[in-house]
Amino acid sequence: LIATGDARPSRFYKRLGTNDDTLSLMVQSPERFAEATELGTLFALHVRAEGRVLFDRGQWLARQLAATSDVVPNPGWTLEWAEREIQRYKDLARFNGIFLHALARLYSIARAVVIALTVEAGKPEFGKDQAFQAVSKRFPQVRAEVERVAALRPFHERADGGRDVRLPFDHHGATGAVQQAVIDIERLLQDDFL
Amino acid sequence: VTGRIAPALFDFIDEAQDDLRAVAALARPLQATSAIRQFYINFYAQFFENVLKADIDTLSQRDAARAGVLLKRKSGLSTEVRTLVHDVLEFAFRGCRSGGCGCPCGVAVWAP
Repeated sequence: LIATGDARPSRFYKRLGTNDDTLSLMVQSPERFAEATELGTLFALHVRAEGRVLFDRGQWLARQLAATSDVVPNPGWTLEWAEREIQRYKDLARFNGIFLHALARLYSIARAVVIALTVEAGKPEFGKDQAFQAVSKRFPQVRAEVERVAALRPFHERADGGRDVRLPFDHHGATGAVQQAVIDIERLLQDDFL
Repeated sequence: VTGRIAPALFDFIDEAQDDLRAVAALARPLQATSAIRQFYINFYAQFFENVLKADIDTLSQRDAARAGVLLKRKSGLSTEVRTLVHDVLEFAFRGCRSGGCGCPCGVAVWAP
């Protein structure tokens, strides 16, 4: 659920009258949302492709989407962002042997990368599993890399508060898994297989 | 393992300064996916595990509630430690669901 406004997410939750932890709510300022649509971010593409407007006071959203309908989506920004972001995970000393959040973050970076790749390849997939599957199927030369990073999803769910999520291995001391994920994402970022 | 909190963790702060400079240049608010957030969640994971020896490793509301219980049970904690735990509660219950936590929909993920 995406809401545009300047209030804190907690206020939106209060107004919605729910404390449902499974509800994923994103609150954005109107300026930020407008910027995304004007820049042609993949977020804006996703909203445009699959979003459903539930409430649009004064038709602001409809006008904003219409005014930016000719903006060409640019997956390059996501790929550049991912390239910068993974640098933080090359220095393992900062995690003190506790790699839950590093693995979770690497999963979400990888997910952003594969979604960007599907856009670059001309067939956008925004679903969590679908994007991994699409890239794996379409580009068999990186299937192993895609499958390895996709397998980190339980760490992401666990870090997101899913205490009952069963992890495939103990994240404590899992330096090899972190290093491998960084290598795999860097391989996907080379995009010479597209 | 280098100690209770890894000194190298504070490198995230240096990187956050770069984020802040970029944000200042763009005149827009800092997103939760910034290095600050990464510092924060990893700091608390190390803090709860290595300092409080508690099985709390996320900033979810559920873990924050458990941190609140811990705070009540452990009466001998220093003011500084109690302040840090209170900070977690504040973060979890007021600010964590901003959508910038790595969600594939997050503008922070997609935006340049």
